[in-house]
Amino acid sequence: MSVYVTDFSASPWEVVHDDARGGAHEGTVDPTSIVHTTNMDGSENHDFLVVVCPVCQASSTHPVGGGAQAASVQQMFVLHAQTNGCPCGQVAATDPDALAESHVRLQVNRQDGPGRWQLS
Amino acid sequence: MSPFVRVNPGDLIQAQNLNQVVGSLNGTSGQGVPVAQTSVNDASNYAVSVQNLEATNSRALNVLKSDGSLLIRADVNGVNLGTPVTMVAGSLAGTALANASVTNAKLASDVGRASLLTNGGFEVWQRGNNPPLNGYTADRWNSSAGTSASVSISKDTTNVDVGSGACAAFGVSNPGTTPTLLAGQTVELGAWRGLTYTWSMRIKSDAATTGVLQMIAFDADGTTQLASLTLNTTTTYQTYSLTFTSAATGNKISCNLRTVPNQGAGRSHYVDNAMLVVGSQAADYVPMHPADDLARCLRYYETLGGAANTIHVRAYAGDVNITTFGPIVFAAKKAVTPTLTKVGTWTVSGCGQPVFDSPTLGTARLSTTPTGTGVFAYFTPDATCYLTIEANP
Repeated sequence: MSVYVTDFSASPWEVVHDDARGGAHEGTVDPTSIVHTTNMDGSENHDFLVVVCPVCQASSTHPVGGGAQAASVQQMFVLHAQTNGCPCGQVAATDPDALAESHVRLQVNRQDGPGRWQLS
Repeated sequence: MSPFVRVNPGDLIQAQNLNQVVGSLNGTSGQGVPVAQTSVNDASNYAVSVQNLEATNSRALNVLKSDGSLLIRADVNGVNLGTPVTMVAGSLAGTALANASVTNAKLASDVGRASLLTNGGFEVWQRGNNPPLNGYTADRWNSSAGTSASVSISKDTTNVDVGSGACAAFGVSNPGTTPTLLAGQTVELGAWRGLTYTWSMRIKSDAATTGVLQMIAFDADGTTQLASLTLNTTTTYQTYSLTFTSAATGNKISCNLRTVPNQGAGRSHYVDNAMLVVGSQAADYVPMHPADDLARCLRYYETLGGAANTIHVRAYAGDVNITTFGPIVFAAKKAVTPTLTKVGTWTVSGCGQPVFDSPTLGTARLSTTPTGTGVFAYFTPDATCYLTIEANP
């Protein structure tokens, strides 16, 4: 499916690169290594996060809607916003966690439409 | 019963002779005899003609079984027949049927119908022929391990159904203490909501099994069970089908073939030729044209590159610190905004590794920042370098 996080329970996070040619492989990544893509003006784009495979260095750019793995990717965006805030300025790292989740859910709805949200 | 008694010339007619005729015509029990108009020789008239001049009902003929149930009735409503009606093969012309009168429930399974599944024949394996348990295997078919499960999944071209090119093989060493999803597909319904569907698969096992596999359908929320069927498999392909009705509000359904917990360790199963059709009758597998089969798969997953110079960007940077972009157009529009993955260390000259980002449903970009002015380039040098685009609604 891509390089995505399979276990958020402890840092570093466990990731898998499941469609790697030659067979899937797993590893761990530091959550701080997962960053937003960059807009043409150099600012961060809150709609995308990049996860790099610790084994083969393949990089997956995940959309906030979830792309290949909706539940995992949306969870990753929520945790990222809760920890770091959102680069758009709507959410600060010090804000309540629920605000970050609401913000990400709004992003998901804007990108892929209602019904795409997978988190409960 | 006694036959009517013929009266010869000169014989006295006894009352019982006449009364039997009268009683027969009146329907008196035990008085009737078979009517045998078998020796009529008349080119103009029917051997038997019955007409009731009463205009409202025109009740002309009523033929009953011994129990009084209907065999043939002819009246103002037409001709009604009891069951079963046996007709000579080929005797009923298509024009005898009223237009639009054959319902889905009356169709045989060999009536070709469109399937809503993607890669129902398990022919397309873009991720490779030996995918891991947990994730996508054959295109659009998903798997997920149950607790303690051990299952191998592979593309199989030996144990296929009749006429098939490939099937999915599942080697179940341990089915798990919770269900293991062997082959599941989430189907986008679009406007096809609230309808009755029938999902069918062709399955065989390396030995007959009882209750080790289960077909189960879920509604759009992924948790509401619509229907399920526990299977008994044999060593030859059999068709198993499940009929269910989706919710009127959902936009997808999920068809899952999974193990029954703790059942069937050591068995291998082969799955081929799945169909999902609208209606209550299962339909035999109808293969798609390979181009259409692949095109449907590409809506969810595609790869680009994967060979030398299959993606090659070469350009001129007139200034430093300028980010450059190369457009990537997908072979098919995706179901949702996709995840982009760049794999491998590409060959670069005068720039860093390209970044694959900014996906839309149909496009993305490769971006890089040249290290100085002048010509820069990046390209895929071999099979280890490629891009994947994946969207799973």
